[in-house]
Amino acid sequence: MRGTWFCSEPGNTEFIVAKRVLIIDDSASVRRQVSGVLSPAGFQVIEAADGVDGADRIRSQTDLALVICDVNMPRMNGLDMLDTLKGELAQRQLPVVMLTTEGQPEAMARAKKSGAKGWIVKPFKEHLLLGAVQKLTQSGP
Amino acid sequence: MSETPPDLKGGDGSGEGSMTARNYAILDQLLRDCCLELMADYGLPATLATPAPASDAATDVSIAAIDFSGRDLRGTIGLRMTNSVVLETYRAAVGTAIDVGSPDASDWTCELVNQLIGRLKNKLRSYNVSFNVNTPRLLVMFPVAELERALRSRFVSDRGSFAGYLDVMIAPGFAFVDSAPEAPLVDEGDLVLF
Repeated sequence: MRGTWFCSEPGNTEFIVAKRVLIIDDSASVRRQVSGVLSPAGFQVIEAADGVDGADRIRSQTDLALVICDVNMPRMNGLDMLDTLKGELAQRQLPVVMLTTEGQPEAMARAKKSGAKGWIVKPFKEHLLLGAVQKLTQSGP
Repeated sequence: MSETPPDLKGGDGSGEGSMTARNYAILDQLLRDCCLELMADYGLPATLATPAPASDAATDVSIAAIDFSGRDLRGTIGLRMTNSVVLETYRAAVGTAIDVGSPDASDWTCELVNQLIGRLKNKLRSYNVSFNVNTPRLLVMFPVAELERALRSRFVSDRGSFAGYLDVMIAPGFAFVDSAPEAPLVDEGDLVLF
């Protein structure tokens, strides 16, 4: 099962699973924005600053429930990262949602072909982001 | 109307001149629309201002720019904001306050120009124009006067002023032609699930 087990309250014997979401974006502001939406909803958010860091985190964090990924980033962009990890993402059935300023159909088609499950154009609407994350991680945290 | 530098106005009566003038007029309008829509999305409605407001002092502004290049257009887009605009839009986006000159403020300034070029790129789909976008950078030592040679639009809001700049090279013989996009337009804020 994905996620991390933790006790919701001291003395509470009921355990809940906080699903872990990785946000990959070179903007710390956007990472904070995403975390500010998902964390209150019960998701555990971890961060990476570019495609290279993101790929490393995806490979090392085997309990991820979902990845949110920017496109234009230094070192390795999000689409190249998707291509690099295409097989691994499919094998793990790890959903990826692109979060970017780009709205180009060619880029969207490439992301879809590489296994992405969604595309959001910045600036994002909080309820749409949260809804997509909850849907793609099935029943939510 | 925003300001088009004299050397970019074209319109010398020749076909080439009127095409050049139309190209720049379209870019001018798109730049203006993108700036206004970007700030409106962060709760900052604004109006065009000419000349620049008195409060727009060089010491009180942040500037970020991003390069782009494609078959038809290449250049740099810039966004110059009073720090009050940076702080206010950050607060609207993230929900917390930041300090002027902090790494967070610099990061957010860059993110705003990133979103500005994204808007421009999306609007240019209507003309079948596309380009690749670099990563944004903060302009710290850049002489502000140099920006005045580019296409520019200045705005005022009740939280401060801002200006968009577009320094662009247009491929010889290129003219904007309206064309219906092959795929539906995806607007800012839209979610598409595959």
